[in-house]
Amino acid sequence: MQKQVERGQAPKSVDRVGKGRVPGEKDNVHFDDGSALNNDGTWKHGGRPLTNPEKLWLTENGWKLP
Amino acid sequence: MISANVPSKREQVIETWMLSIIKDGGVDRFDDLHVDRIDDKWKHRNIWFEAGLEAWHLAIHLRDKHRLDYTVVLAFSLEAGESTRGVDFTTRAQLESCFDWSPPSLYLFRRNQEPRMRTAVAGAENISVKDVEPKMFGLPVEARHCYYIEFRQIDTGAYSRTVFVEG
Repeated sequence: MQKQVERGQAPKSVDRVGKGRVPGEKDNVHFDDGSALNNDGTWKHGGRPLTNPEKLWLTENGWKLP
Repeated sequence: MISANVPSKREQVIETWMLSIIKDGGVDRFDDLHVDRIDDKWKHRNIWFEAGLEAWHLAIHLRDKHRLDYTVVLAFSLEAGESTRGVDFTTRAQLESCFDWSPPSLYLFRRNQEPRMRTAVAGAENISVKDVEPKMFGLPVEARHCYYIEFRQIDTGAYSRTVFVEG
């Protein structure tokens, strides 16, 4: 997914995709407003309604939505 | 390590993060603070190492100031793949060349719940913890523990590799 971000194939609001670094921590997406969503659909930091392009991109990559 | 001319904004950002995640459950959500969120000047990869250590020292200072019973942990995220790699660096330069795209970040952990203690948790397997000698960084890192963790994320199959510095 990070490759998609780097290639401009992710929604513009996506800053980067982070890996879980601590055992038990989920992979996560960082948005440009500072919020971060885990791949199980829980918010790691912040939280807001997702846009339709964000929802589509996440679900296409197998992520759960909040 | 904390210079007299450190902008107070950095301390304010770290202090706000630290106090809020203790209050709102962020500690349990692994709500970390990346250095590029502390200071725009820390966005550049070539200063991530020094920025991480500077942020770590500031966070320890603030933790002690507020008498918080938590461990401050700095995490350097390394490139990983579909198999184990182990500790493949012996110098700071080699470590920096292993950095992935994610800037270093700060975590807070309750005592005895630090990453090195998490060797049997749901969602992760093949967890390997190895001590790393702080002197290899070439800087006076006053760390309680410095170590490397590698594990496989069960849901994605990808490995994760990180160097942690505890204070």
